[in-house]
Amino acid sequence: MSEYRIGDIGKLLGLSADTLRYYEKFGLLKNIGRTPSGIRVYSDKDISTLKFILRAQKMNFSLAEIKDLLQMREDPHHARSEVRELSHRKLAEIETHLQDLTTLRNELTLLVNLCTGSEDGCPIIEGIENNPAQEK
Amino acid sequence: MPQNRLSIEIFSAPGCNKCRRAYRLAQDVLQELDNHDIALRLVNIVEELEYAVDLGIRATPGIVFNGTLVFTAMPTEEALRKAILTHLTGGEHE
Repeated sequence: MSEYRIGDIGKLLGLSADTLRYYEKFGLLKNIGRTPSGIRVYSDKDISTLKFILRAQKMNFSLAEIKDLLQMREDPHHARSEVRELSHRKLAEIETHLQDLTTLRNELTLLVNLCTGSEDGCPIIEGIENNPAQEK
Repeated sequence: MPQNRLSIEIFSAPGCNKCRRAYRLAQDVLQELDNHDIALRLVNIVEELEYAVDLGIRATPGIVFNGTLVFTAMPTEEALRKAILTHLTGGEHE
């Protein structure tokens, strides 16, 4: 099992010392280890938790929501009913987001294929620019 | 208004020469078959991008029969004719 200092977390996940201390104060990170001289030491489990927090933030979940979801993550069988409900709700949000992303990926795949298939630049862009039905 | 038994859609994009060739090929095959139960439509992907993506089209030309993607590239004349006859006869031509 590895141990990480604040500087290591910064390099690994791009999080600042202030952010890590705030997460701890807010209750997102619990039981952070300390060296005899009082320096914070993070475990692999803490890294996993931080990655979860970062993913949830990318989905625009609030820190309060993330804190609740972390309870579910820590102990799914004993999570409060509100936390379970929140997890279901967030899962539904992710599913919708995933569908949107899939559609967007498919549209971009098609557009990129149209562009790469042409030796004279990107016909789809020219088509869109020349289409009077499109908004200027 | 009578319903066509087979609706063929050729998905094209501006500047796509293969798409134009696919459309002409389809026109030739339909003229040869002389079957009035077949409707042919050239679809501009720029104008109907969402529809194209929903059908699974990821490149051009794409050829769709009755809402199902059948060819994902330029077919040969023989392959196109065979596919049309197969759809018209419900698989008996295979």
